[in-house]
Amino acid sequence: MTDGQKLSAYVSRDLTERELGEQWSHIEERLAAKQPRRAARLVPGLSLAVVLTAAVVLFVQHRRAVPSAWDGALVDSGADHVSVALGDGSHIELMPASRVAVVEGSARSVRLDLRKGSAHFDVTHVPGRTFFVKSGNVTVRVVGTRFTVSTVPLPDGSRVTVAVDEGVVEAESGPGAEPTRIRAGETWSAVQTTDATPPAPSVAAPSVGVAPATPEPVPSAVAAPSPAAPPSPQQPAEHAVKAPEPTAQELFEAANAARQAGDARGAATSYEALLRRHPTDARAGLAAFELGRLKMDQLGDTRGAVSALKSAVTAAPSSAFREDALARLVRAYATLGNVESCERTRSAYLGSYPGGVHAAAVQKSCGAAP
Amino acid sequence: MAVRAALTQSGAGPSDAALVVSAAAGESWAQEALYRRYGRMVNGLAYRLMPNSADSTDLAQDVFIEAFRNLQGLKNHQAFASWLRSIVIRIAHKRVRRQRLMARLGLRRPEAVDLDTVVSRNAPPDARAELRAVYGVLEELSSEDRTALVLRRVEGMAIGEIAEHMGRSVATVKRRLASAEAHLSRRLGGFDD
Repeated sequence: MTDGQKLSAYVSRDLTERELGEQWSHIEERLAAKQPRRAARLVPGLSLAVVLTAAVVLFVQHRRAVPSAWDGALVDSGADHVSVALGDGSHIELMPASRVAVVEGSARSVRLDLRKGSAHFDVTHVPGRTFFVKSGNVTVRVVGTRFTVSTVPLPDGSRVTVAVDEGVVEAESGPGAEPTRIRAGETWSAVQTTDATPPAPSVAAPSVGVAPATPEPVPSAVAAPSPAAPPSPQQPAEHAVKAPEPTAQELFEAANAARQAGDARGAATSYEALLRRHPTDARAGLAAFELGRLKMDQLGDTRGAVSALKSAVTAAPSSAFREDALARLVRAYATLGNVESCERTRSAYLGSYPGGVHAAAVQKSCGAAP
Repeated sequence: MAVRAALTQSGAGPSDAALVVSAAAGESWAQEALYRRYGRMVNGLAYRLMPNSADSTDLAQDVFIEAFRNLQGLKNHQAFASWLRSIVIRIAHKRVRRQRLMARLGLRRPEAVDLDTVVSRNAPPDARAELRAVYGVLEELSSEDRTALVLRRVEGMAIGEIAEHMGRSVATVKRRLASAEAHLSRRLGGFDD
Protein backbone atom coordinates (compact mmCIF):
# COMPACT_ATOMS: atom_id res chain seq x y z
CA MET A 1 0.00 0.00 0.00
CA THR A 2 1.24 3.44 -0.89
CA ASP A 3 1.67 5.85 1.98
CA GLY A 4 -1.81 7.15 2.64
CA GLN A 5 -0.51 10.53 3.74
CA LYS A 6 0.80 11.07 0.26
CA LEU A 7 -2.27 9.67 -1.50
CA SER A 8 -4.52 12.44 -0.26
CA ALA A 9 -2.31 14.92 -2.11
CA TYR A 10 -3.34 13.31 -5.39
CA VAL A 11 -7.07 13.68 -4.78
CA SER A 12 -7.70 17.32 -4.17
CA ARG A 13 -9.81 20.09 -5.45
CA ASP A 14 -7.74 23.25 -5.59
CA LEU A 15 -10.00 26.15 -4.87
CA THR A 16 -8.95 29.59 -6.06
CA GLU A 17 -9.03 32.54 -3.70
CA ARG A 18 -12.09 33.74 -5.56
CA GLU A 19 -13.88 30.42 -5.10
CA LEU A 20 -12.99 30.44 -1.43
CA GLY A 21 -14.30 33.99 -1.14
CA GLU A 22 -17.55 33.04 -2.86
CA GLN A 23 -17.95 30.03 -0.63
CA TRP A 24 -17.41 32.18 2.44
CA SER A 25 -20.04 34.62 1.18
CA HIS A 26 -22.54 31.77 0.94
CA ILE A 27 -21.64 30.55 4.42
CA GLU A 28 -21.90 34.05 5.85
CA GLU A 29 -25.29 34.57 4.21
CA ARG A 30 -26.56 31.30 5.56
CA LEU A 31 -25.26 32.06 9.03
CA ALA A 32 -26.98 35.42 8.98
CA ALA A 33 -30.19 34.10 7.46
CA LYS A 34 -33.03 32.45 9.25
CA GLN A 35 -32.41 28.79 9.86
CA PRO A 36 -34.51 26.79 7.44
CA ARG A 37 -37.56 25.19 8.85
CA ARG A 38 -36.78 21.59 8.26
CA ALA A 39 -39.36 18.96 8.93
CA ALA A 40 -36.58 16.52 9.77
CA ARG A 41 -35.51 18.68 12.68
CA LEU A 42 -38.96 19.33 13.98
CA VAL A 43 -40.65 15.98 13.64
CA PRO A 44 -38.61 13.68 15.88
CA GLY A 45 -39.04 15.63 19.06
CA LEU A 46 -42.51 17.02 18.41
CA SER A 47 -41.15 19.73 20.59
CA LEU A 48 -43.13 22.03 22.74
CA ALA A 49 -42.32 24.85 20.37
CA VAL A 50 -43.89 23.05 17.45
CA VAL A 51 -46.99 22.14 19.38
CA LEU A 52 -47.36 25.69 20.52
CA THR A 53 -46.72 27.00 17.04
CA ALA A 54 -49.52 24.83 15.72
CA ALA A 55 -51.72 25.94 18.55
CA VAL A 56 -51.08 29.60 17.86
CA VAL A 57 -51.63 29.09 14.13
CA LEU A 58 -54.88 27.24 14.65
CA PHE A 59 -56.07 29.69 17.20
CA VAL A 60 -55.48 32.75 15.10
CA GLN A 61 -56.89 31.07 12.03
CA HIS A 62 -60.10 30.29 13.86
CA ARG A 63 -60.34 33.90 14.98
CA ARG A 64 -62.23 33.06 18.09
CA ALA A 65 -62.88 36.00 20.40
CA VAL A 66 -62.65 33.92 23.53
CA PRO A 67 -59.62 33.27 25.73
CA SER A 68 -57.30 30.69 24.24
CA ALA A 69 -56.54 27.46 26.00
CA TRP A 70 -52.91 28.25 25.12
CA ASP A 71 -52.83 31.61 26.82
CA GLY A 72 -49.78 31.66 29.07
CA ALA A 73 -48.00 28.96 27.10
CA LEU A 74 -44.28 29.32 26.51
CA VAL A 75 -42.33 29.01 23.27
CA ASP A 76 -38.68 28.33 24.03
CA SER A 77 -36.22 28.23 21.13
CA GLY A 78 -33.59 26.21 22.99
CA ALA A 79 -30.41 26.12 20.91
CA ASP A 80 -32.19 26.71 17.59
CA HIS A 81 -33.94 29.45 15.71
CA VAL A 82 -37.68 28.85 15.96
CA SER A 83 -40.08 30.35 13.48
CA VAL A 84 -43.70 30.75 14.48
CA ALA A 85 -46.20 31.44 11.71
CA LEU A 86 -49.50 32.98 12.71
CA GLY A 87 -52.58 32.31 10.66
CA ASP A 88 -52.85 35.94 9.55
CA GLY A 89 -49.47 35.84 7.79
CA SER A 90 -47.47 37.29 10.67
CA HIS A 91 -44.19 35.65 11.58
CA ILE A 92 -42.21 35.52 14.78
CA GLU A 93 -38.60 34.43 14.60
CA LEU A 94 -37.06 33.49 17.92
CA MET A 95 -33.30 33.63 18.12
CA PRO A 96 -31.50 30.82 19.95
CA ALA A 97 -31.83 30.88 23.76
CA SER A 98 -34.98 32.99 23.59
CA ARG A 99 -38.36 32.53 25.21
CA VAL A 100 -41.74 34.07 24.45
CA ALA A 101 -44.92 33.56 26.42
CA VAL A 102 -48.30 33.72 24.68
CA VAL A 103 -50.17 35.89 27.16
CA GLU A 104 -53.18 36.22 24.91
CA GLY A 105 -53.86 34.99 21.41
CA SER A 106 -57.27 35.89 20.15
CA ALA A 107 -58.60 37.28 16.88
CA ARG A 108 -58.96 40.66 18.56
CA SER A 109 -55.77 40.80 20.56
CA VAL A 110 -52.37 39.16 20.56
CA ARG A 111 -50.17 39.73 23.58
CA LEU A 112 -46.73 38.20 23.75
CA ASP A 113 -44.17 38.45 26.52
CA LEU A 114 -40.50 38.20 25.57
CA ARG A 115 -39.00 36.66 28.69
CA LYS A 116 -35.49 36.02 27.40
CA GLY A 117 -33.28 36.64 24.36
CA SER A 118 -34.34 38.23 21.13
CA ALA A 119 -37.21 37.86 18.69
CA HIS A 120 -37.97 39.39 15.32
CA PHE A 121 -41.59 40.16 14.56
CA ASP A 122 -43.11 40.56 11.12
CA VAL A 123 -46.68 41.54 11.91
CA THR A 124 -49.45 41.75 9.36
CA HIS A 125 -51.89 44.56 9.92
CA VAL A 126 -55.32 43.19 10.82
CA PRO A 127 -58.07 45.81 11.26
CA GLY A 128 -59.53 45.67 14.74
CA ARG A 129 -56.80 43.44 16.12
CA THR A 130 -54.23 44.76 18.58
CA PHE A 131 -50.79 43.27 18.82
CA PHE A 132 -48.57 43.88 21.85
CA VAL A 133 -45.12 42.61 22.71
CA LYS A 134 -43.98 43.04 26.28
CA SER A 135 -40.53 42.57 27.77
CA GLY A 136 -40.12 43.42 31.43
CA ASN A 137 -41.84 46.74 31.96
CA VAL A 138 -41.52 47.68 28.30
CA THR A 139 -44.56 47.25 26.09
CA VAL A 140 -44.49 47.63 22.32
CA ARG A 141 -47.74 48.28 20.49
CA VAL A 142 -47.73 47.16 16.92
CA VAL A 143 -49.86 48.28 14.04
CA GLY A 144 -48.34 46.37 11.16
CA THR A 145 -44.59 46.32 10.85
CA ARG A 146 -41.32 44.46 11.12
CA PHE A 147 -39.24 44.92 14.22
CA THR A 148 -36.97 43.17 16.71
CA VAL A 149 -37.16 43.13 20.48
CA SER A 150 -34.10 42.03 22.44
CA THR A 151 -33.51 41.80 26.14
CA VAL A 152 -29.95 41.75 27.45
CA PRO A 153 -29.28 41.01 31.12
CA LEU A 154 -27.30 43.67 32.97
CA PRO A 155 -25.71 43.34 36.43
CA ASP A 156 -28.58 45.19 38.05
CA GLY A 157 -31.44 44.61 35.62
CA SER A 158 -31.79 44.37 31.89
CA ARG A 159 -31.79 46.44 28.74
CA VAL A 160 -34.67 46.04 26.32
CA THR A 161 -33.95 47.18 22.77
CA VAL A 162 -36.54 47.69 20.05
CA ALA A 163 -35.30 48.08 16.46
CA VAL A 164 -37.85 48.85 13.76
CA ASP A 165 -37.26 47.78 10.17
CA GLU A 166 -40.57 48.87 8.67
CA GLY A 167 -43.59 50.81 9.86
CA VAL A 168 -44.07 52.32 13.28
CA VAL A 169 -44.45 50.92 16.77
CA GLU A 170 -45.18 52.57 20.08
CA ALA A 171 -43.15 51.61 23.12
CA GLU A 172 -43.85 52.32 26.76
CA SER A 173 -40.99 52.02 29.19
CA GLY A 174 -43.30 51.08 32.04
CA PRO A 175 -46.91 51.08 33.16
CA GLY A 176 -48.38 54.51 32.55
CA ALA A 177 -45.26 55.84 30.84
CA GLU A 178 -45.61 58.15 27.90
CA PRO A 179 -45.51 56.02 24.73
CA THR A 180 -42.64 56.69 22.33
CA ARG A 181 -43.18 56.26 18.61
CA ILE A 182 -40.35 54.37 16.95
CA ARG A 183 -40.18 54.62 13.20
CA ALA A 184 -38.44 52.53 10.56
CA GLY A 185 -34.67 52.63 10.94
CA GLU A 186 -34.84 53.73 14.57
CA THR A 187 -33.67 51.86 17.62
CA TRP A 188 -35.06 52.48 21.07
CA SER A 189 -33.85 51.02 24.31
CA ALA A 190 -34.77 51.08 27.97
CA VAL A 191 -32.77 50.00 30.98
CA GLN A 192 -34.77 48.31 33.69
CA THR A 193 -33.44 47.91 37.19
CA THR A 194 -34.33 45.00 39.42
CA ASP A 195 -35.99 47.26 42.02
CA ALA A 196 -39.13 45.63 43.32
CA THR A 197 -41.26 48.73 42.78
CA PRO A 198 -41.42 50.13 39.26
CA PRO A 199 -40.49 53.80 39.24
CA ALA A 200 -43.07 56.46 38.49
CA PRO A 201 -42.89 57.20 34.79
CA SER A 202 -42.39 60.95 35.07
CA VAL A 203 -39.62 60.73 37.67
CA ALA A 204 -37.61 57.61 37.16
CA ALA A 205 -38.32 56.38 33.73
CA PRO A 206 -35.62 54.05 32.47
CA SER A 207 -32.98 55.43 30.17
CA VAL A 208 -34.71 55.83 26.86
CA GLY A 209 -33.28 56.74 23.51
CA VAL A 210 -34.37 56.79 19.93
CA ALA A 211 -31.49 56.28 17.56
CA PRO A 212 -32.03 56.61 13.83
CA ALA A 213 -29.67 54.39 11.89
CA THR A 214 -28.64 57.24 9.64
CA PRO A 215 -25.59 59.22 10.75
CA GLU A 216 -27.49 62.49 11.16
CA PRO A 217 -27.32 63.99 14.67
CA VAL A 218 -29.83 62.19 16.80
CA PRO A 219 -31.44 63.41 19.99
CA SER A 220 -31.02 60.10 21.66
CA ALA A 221 -30.00 59.11 25.13
CA VAL A 222 -28.24 56.16 23.55
CA ALA A 223 -26.71 57.64 20.47
CA ALA A 224 -26.83 61.41 20.81
CA PRO A 225 -23.55 62.88 19.61
CA SER A 226 -23.85 65.99 21.68
CA PRO A 227 -25.46 66.75 25.03
CA ALA A 228 -26.69 69.96 23.51
CA ALA A 229 -28.76 68.19 20.90
CA PRO A 230 -32.47 68.96 21.13
CA PRO A 231 -34.86 66.29 22.32
CA SER A 232 -36.61 64.17 19.75
CA PRO A 233 -40.10 65.23 18.78
CA GLN A 234 -41.13 61.61 19.28
CA GLN A 235 -39.69 61.47 22.74
CA PRO A 236 -40.58 63.33 25.91
CA ALA A 237 -37.84 65.81 26.72
CA GLU A 238 -37.76 64.78 30.36
CA HIS A 239 -36.70 61.28 29.35
CA ALA A 240 -33.80 62.56 27.31
CA VAL A 241 -32.62 64.78 30.13
CA LYS A 242 -33.04 62.35 32.98
CA ALA A 243 -31.87 59.21 31.26
CA PRO A 244 -28.53 58.00 32.60
CA GLU A 245 -25.86 57.65 29.96
CA PRO A 246 -25.50 54.05 28.81
CA THR A 247 -22.22 52.44 29.70
CA ALA A 248 -19.82 51.09 27.11
CA GLN A 249 -20.74 47.57 28.13
CA GLU A 250 -24.46 48.25 27.69
CA LEU A 251 -23.90 49.74 24.25
CA PHE A 252 -21.62 46.89 23.28
CA GLU A 253 -24.17 44.31 24.40
CA ALA A 254 -27.02 46.16 22.72
CA ALA A 255 -25.00 46.23 19.49
CA ASN A 256 -24.20 42.54 19.73
CA ALA A 257 -27.82 41.68 20.44
CA ALA A 258 -28.95 43.71 17.44
CA ARG A 259 -26.29 42.15 15.24
CA GLN A 260 -27.19 38.65 16.29
CA ALA A 261 -30.83 39.47 15.63
CA GLY A 262 -29.87 40.43 12.08
CA ASP A 263 -30.34 44.16 12.66
CA ALA A 264 -27.16 45.51 11.09
CA ARG A 265 -28.24 49.15 11.17
CA GLY A 266 -29.27 48.99 14.81
CA ALA A 267 -25.97 47.35 15.67
CA ALA A 268 -24.02 50.00 13.77
CA THR A 269 -25.86 52.75 15.64
CA SER A 270 -24.93 51.27 19.01
CA TYR A 271 -21.31 50.72 17.99
CA GLU A 272 -21.12 54.32 16.78
CA ALA A 273 -22.60 55.51 20.06
CA LEU A 274 -20.01 53.51 21.96
CA LEU A 275 -17.17 55.01 19.92
CA ARG A 276 -18.46 58.55 20.42
CA ARG A 277 -19.16 58.27 24.11
CA HIS A 278 -16.44 55.88 25.21
CA PRO A 279 -13.57 56.26 22.72
CA THR A 280 -10.95 55.05 25.22
CA ASP A 281 -12.91 52.03 26.45
CA ALA A 282 -11.23 48.64 25.97
CA ARG A 283 -14.08 47.58 23.68
CA ALA A 284 -13.62 50.54 21.34
CA GLY A 285 -11.21 48.74 19.01
CA LEU A 286 -13.45 45.73 18.60
CA ALA A 287 -16.51 47.98 18.24
CA ALA A 288 -14.76 49.92 15.48
CA PHE A 289 -13.76 46.73 13.72
CA GLU A 290 -17.25 45.30 13.91
CA LEU A 291 -18.71 48.62 12.73
CA GLY A 292 -16.36 48.56 9.74
CA ARG A 293 -17.33 45.00 8.95
CA LEU A 294 -21.05 45.82 9.10
CA LYS A 295 -20.65 48.89 6.91
CA MET A 296 -18.56 46.98 4.42
CA ASP A 297 -20.57 43.76 4.20
CA GLN A 298 -24.12 44.67 5.02
CA LEU A 299 -24.69 48.41 4.79
CA GLY A 300 -22.89 49.11 1.52
CA ASP A 301 -20.93 51.97 3.06
CA THR A 302 -17.32 51.33 2.05
CA ARG A 303 -16.13 54.86 2.90
CA GLY A 304 -17.67 54.56 6.36
CA ALA A 305 -16.03 51.17 6.68
CA VAL A 306 -12.61 52.65 5.92
CA SER A 307 -13.02 55.21 8.68
CA ALA A 308 -14.13 52.58 11.19
CA LEU A 309 -11.40 50.12 10.26
CA LYS A 310 -8.72 52.81 10.56
CA SER A 311 -10.06 53.52 14.06
CA ALA A 312 -9.91 49.81 14.83
CA VAL A 313 -6.25 49.60 13.83
CA THR A 314 -5.40 52.71 15.83
CA ALA A 315 -7.50 51.91 18.89
CA ALA A 316 -6.16 48.40 19.38
CA PRO A 317 -2.70 48.14 17.79
CA SER A 318 -1.88 44.85 19.53
CA SER A 319 -5.27 43.23 19.32
CA ALA A 320 -6.12 39.91 17.73
CA PHE A 321 -8.33 41.57 15.14
CA ARG A 322 -5.76 44.13 13.95
CA GLU A 323 -4.71 41.69 11.26
CA ASP A 324 -8.29 41.27 10.09
CA ALA A 325 -8.90 45.02 10.24
CA LEU A 326 -5.83 45.72 8.07
CA ALA A 327 -6.84 43.04 5.57
CA ARG A 328 -10.34 44.46 5.32
CA LEU A 329 -8.92 47.94 4.96
CA VAL A 330 -6.92 46.74 1.96
CA ARG A 331 -10.10 45.32 0.43
CA ALA A 332 -12.03 48.50 1.14
CA TYR A 333 -9.39 50.71 -0.48
CA ALA A 334 -9.29 48.37 -3.47
CA THR A 335 -13.07 48.62 -3.78
CA LEU A 336 -12.89 52.40 -3.67
CA GLY A 337 -10.09 52.41 -6.27
CA ASN A 338 -7.75 54.22 -3.89
CA VAL A 339 -4.60 52.51 -5.16
CA GLU A 340 -2.10 54.54 -3.13
CA SER A 341 -3.78 53.87 0.22
CA CYS A 342 -4.44 50.28 -0.78
CA GLU A 343 -0.77 49.65 -1.51
CA ARG A 344 0.37 51.43 1.64
CA THR A 345 -2.01 49.37 3.79
CA ARG A 346 -1.08 46.21 1.95
CA SER A 347 2.59 46.84 2.80
CA ALA A 348 1.63 47.42 6.43
CA TYR A 349 -0.27 44.15 6.51
CA LEU A 350 2.44 42.07 4.84
CA GLY A 351 5.11 43.72 7.00
CA SER A 352 3.27 42.77 10.18
CA TYR A 353 1.81 39.43 9.09
CA PRO A 354 3.94 37.91 6.33
CA GLY A 355 2.42 34.49 6.98
CA GLY A 356 -0.99 35.81 8.00
CA VAL A 357 -4.27 34.15 7.21
CA HIS A 358 -5.14 36.89 4.71
CA ALA A 359 -1.65 37.24 3.19
CA ALA A 360 -2.51 35.48 -0.07
CA ALA A 361 -5.66 37.53 -0.61
CA VAL A 362 -3.98 40.78 0.39
CA GLN A 363 -1.11 40.20 -2.00
CA LYS A 364 -3.55 39.99 -4.89
CA SER A 365 -5.35 43.19 -3.95
CA CYS A 366 -4.74 46.74 -5.21
CA GLY A 367 -4.34 45.58 -8.79
CA ALA A 368 -0.70 44.57 -9.04
CA ALA A 369 1.43 42.34 -6.80
CA PRO A 370 3.71 44.15 -4.32
CA MET B 1 -9.32 40.13 26.59
CA ALA B 2 -9.11 36.39 26.09
CA VAL B 3 -8.29 36.83 22.43
CA ARG B 4 -5.25 38.91 23.14
CA ALA B 5 -3.88 36.41 25.64
CA ALA B 6 -4.08 33.62 23.13
CA LEU B 7 -2.13 35.27 20.34
CA THR B 8 0.55 33.17 18.69
CA GLN B 9 4.15 34.32 18.72
CA SER B 10 4.70 33.43 15.08
CA GLY B 11 2.97 36.44 13.66
CA ALA B 12 0.62 34.12 11.82
CA GLY B 13 -2.40 35.59 13.50
CA PRO B 14 -4.49 34.51 16.46
CA SER B 15 -4.37 30.91 17.61
CA ASP B 16 -7.27 28.59 16.89
CA ALA B 17 -8.28 28.81 20.53
CA ALA B 18 -8.46 32.60 20.39
CA LEU B 19 -10.43 32.57 17.18
CA VAL B 20 -12.80 29.91 18.49
CA VAL B 21 -13.54 31.99 21.60
CA SER B 22 -14.42 35.01 19.49
CA ALA B 23 -16.27 32.99 16.85
CA ALA B 24 -18.33 31.28 19.54
CA ALA B 25 -19.33 34.74 20.76
CA GLY B 26 -20.72 35.42 17.29
CA GLU B 27 -17.80 37.51 16.02
CA SER B 28 -17.94 37.07 12.29
CA TRP B 29 -14.37 38.26 11.71
CA ALA B 30 -13.18 35.31 13.79
CA GLN B 31 -15.46 32.94 11.89
CA GLU B 32 -14.04 34.21 8.63
CA ALA B 33 -10.48 33.83 9.91
CA LEU B 34 -11.20 30.21 10.86
CA TYR B 35 -12.76 29.62 7.47
CA ARG B 36 -9.76 31.13 5.69
CA ARG B 37 -7.48 28.95 7.76
CA TYR B 38 -9.32 25.68 7.26
CA GLY B 39 -11.40 26.19 4.12
CA ARG B 40 -8.98 24.30 1.89
CA MET B 41 -8.58 21.46 4.37
CA VAL B 42 -12.34 21.02 4.66
CA ASN B 43 -12.93 21.26 0.92
CA GLY B 44 -10.14 18.76 0.28
CA LEU B 45 -11.43 16.19 2.74
CA ALA B 46 -14.99 16.72 1.54
CA TYR B 47 -13.88 16.13 -2.03
CA ARG B 48 -12.02 12.94 -1.15
CA LEU B 49 -15.05 11.60 0.72
CA MET B 50 -17.57 12.70 -1.91
CA PRO B 51 -15.62 13.06 -5.16
CA ASN B 52 -18.14 15.15 -6.97
CA SER B 53 -17.32 18.83 -6.90
CA ALA B 54 -20.90 20.01 -6.42
CA ASP B 55 -21.51 17.58 -3.55
CA SER B 56 -18.24 18.45 -1.88
CA THR B 57 -18.82 22.21 -2.15
CA ASP B 58 -22.24 21.88 -0.54
CA LEU B 59 -20.76 19.61 2.07
CA ALA B 60 -17.99 22.08 2.93
CA GLN B 61 -20.55 24.86 3.37
CA ASP B 62 -22.69 22.70 5.63
CA VAL B 63 -19.65 21.78 7.68
CA PHE B 64 -18.79 25.40 8.48
CA ILE B 65 -22.41 26.29 9.16
CA GLU B 66 -22.73 23.41 11.60
CA ALA B 67 -19.36 24.15 13.16
CA PHE B 68 -20.10 27.82 13.78
CA ARG B 69 -23.56 27.09 15.13
CA ASN B 70 -22.19 24.54 17.56
CA LEU B 71 -18.92 26.11 18.64
CA GLN B 72 -20.20 26.46 22.18
CA GLY B 73 -20.02 22.69 22.45
CA LEU B 74 -16.33 22.51 21.61
CA LYS B 75 -14.54 22.00 24.92
CA ASN B 76 -10.94 22.05 23.72
CA HIS B 77 -10.70 25.15 21.59
CA GLN B 78 -7.28 24.27 20.23
CA ALA B 79 -8.73 21.01 18.85
CA PHE B 80 -10.85 22.94 16.35
CA ALA B 81 -9.20 21.40 13.28
CA SER B 82 -9.73 17.84 14.45
CA TRP B 83 -13.30 18.64 15.45
CA LEU B 84 -13.90 20.15 12.02
CA ARG B 85 -12.60 16.98 10.37
CA SER B 86 -15.04 14.92 12.43
CA ILE B 87 -17.89 17.11 11.24
CA VAL B 88 -16.82 16.66 7.61
CA ILE B 89 -16.70 12.90 8.04
CA ARG B 90 -20.01 12.68 9.87
CA ILE B 91 -21.92 14.88 7.41
CA ALA B 92 -20.35 13.14 4.40
CA HIS B 93 -21.35 9.78 5.83
CA LYS B 94 -24.93 10.93 6.36
CA ARG B 95 -25.11 12.40 2.87
CA VAL B 96 -23.83 9.24 1.23
CA ARG B 97 -26.40 7.23 3.17
CA ARG B 98 -29.16 9.59 2.08
CA GLN B 99 -28.03 9.48 -1.53
CA ARG B 100 -28.04 5.70 -1.42
CA LEU B 101 -31.56 5.67 -0.01
CA MET B 102 -32.78 8.12 -2.64
CA ALA B 103 -31.17 6.01 -5.35
CA ARG B 104 -32.92 2.90 -4.02
CA LEU B 105 -36.22 4.77 -4.06
CA GLY B 106 -35.57 5.82 -7.64
CA LEU B 107 -35.30 9.49 -6.68
CA ARG B 108 -31.66 9.85 -7.60
CA ARG B 109 -29.46 8.39 -10.28
CA PRO B 110 -26.23 6.87 -8.94
CA GLU B 111 -23.24 8.86 -10.15
CA ALA B 112 -20.11 6.97 -11.12
CA VAL B 113 -16.86 8.52 -9.97
CA ASP B 114 -14.89 10.00 -12.86
CA LEU B 115 -11.52 8.50 -12.00
CA ASP B 116 -9.64 10.59 -14.55
CA THR B 117 -10.92 13.76 -12.95
CA VAL B 118 -10.59 12.69 -9.34
CA VAL B 119 -7.07 11.27 -9.44
CA SER B 120 -4.42 13.85 -10.18
CA ARG B 121 -2.38 13.41 -13.33
CA ASN B 122 0.70 14.16 -11.28
CA ALA B 123 0.23 11.04 -9.16
CA PRO B 124 2.99 8.44 -9.56
CA PRO B 125 1.84 5.19 -11.20
CA ASP B 126 1.54 3.15 -7.99
CA ALA B 127 -0.44 5.88 -6.22
CA ARG B 128 -2.59 6.33 -9.29
CA ALA B 129 -3.34 2.60 -9.48
CA GLU B 130 -4.26 2.43 -5.83
CA LEU B 131 -6.46 5.49 -5.95
CA ARG B 132 -8.23 4.26 -9.07
CA ALA B 133 -8.84 0.95 -7.31
CA VAL B 134 -10.22 2.61 -4.18
CA TYR B 135 -12.43 5.12 -5.96
CA GLY B 136 -13.50 2.46 -8.45
CA VAL B 137 -15.24 0.43 -5.75
CA LEU B 138 -16.61 3.19 -3.54
CA GLU B 139 -20.10 3.08 -5.00
CA GLU B 140 -20.27 -0.66 -4.33
CA LEU B 141 -19.48 -0.35 -0.63
CA SER B 142 -21.79 0.40 2.25
CA SER B 143 -21.53 4.01 3.42
CA GLU B 144 -19.60 2.99 6.56
CA ASP B 145 -17.20 0.74 4.66
CA ARG B 146 -16.69 3.47 2.11
CA THR B 147 -15.91 6.16 4.67
CA ALA B 148 -13.54 3.89 6.60
CA LEU B 149 -11.73 2.88 3.42
CA VAL B 150 -11.14 6.45 2.25
CA LEU B 151 -9.96 7.57 5.66
CA ARG B 152 -7.56 4.63 5.88
CA ARG B 153 -6.27 4.34 2.35
CA VAL B 154 -6.42 7.91 1.11
CA GLU B 155 -6.15 10.01 4.26
CA GLY B 156 -3.72 7.58 5.86
CA MET B 157 -5.43 7.79 9.23
CA ALA B 158 -4.71 5.33 12.02
CA ILE B 159 -7.56 3.02 12.97
CA GLY B 160 -7.99 4.70 16.35
CA GLU B 161 -8.24 8.08 14.66
CA ILE B 162 -10.84 6.78 12.20
CA ALA B 163 -12.85 5.35 15.09
CA GLU B 164 -12.76 8.68 16.86
CA HIS B 165 -13.84 10.67 13.81
CA MET B 166 -16.58 8.23 12.85
CA GLY B 167 -17.83 7.86 16.41
CA ARG B 168 -17.41 4.09 16.26
CA SER B 169 -15.40 1.60 18.29
CA VAL B 170 -12.00 0.45 17.08
CA ALA B 171 -13.42 -3.05 16.67
CA THR B 172 -16.21 -1.77 14.44
CA VAL B 173 -13.78 0.19 12.30
CA LYS B 174 -11.59 -2.89 11.93
CA ARG B 175 -14.61 -4.88 10.76
CA ARG B 176 -15.63 -2.17 8.32
CA LEU B 177 -12.12 -1.97 6.92
CA ALA B 178 -11.83 -5.74 6.63
CA SER B 179 -15.11 -5.80 4.74
CA ALA B 180 -14.06 -2.98 2.42
CA GLU B 181 -10.62 -4.45 1.79
CA ALA B 182 -12.13 -7.85 1.04
CA HIS B 183 -14.46 -6.27 -1.47
CA LEU B 184 -11.58 -4.40 -3.01
CA SER B 185 -9.55 -7.58 -3.33
CA ARG B 186 -12.44 -9.51 -4.86
CA ARG B 187 -13.15 -6.75 -7.30
CA LEU B 188 -9.58 -6.48 -8.43
CA GLY B 189 -8.86 -10.18 -8.30
CA GLY B 190 -6.28 -9.99 -5.60
CA PHE B 191 -5.27 -6.37 -5.30
CA ASP B 192 -2.77 -6.59 -2.50
CA ASP B 193 -2.20 -4.31 0.39
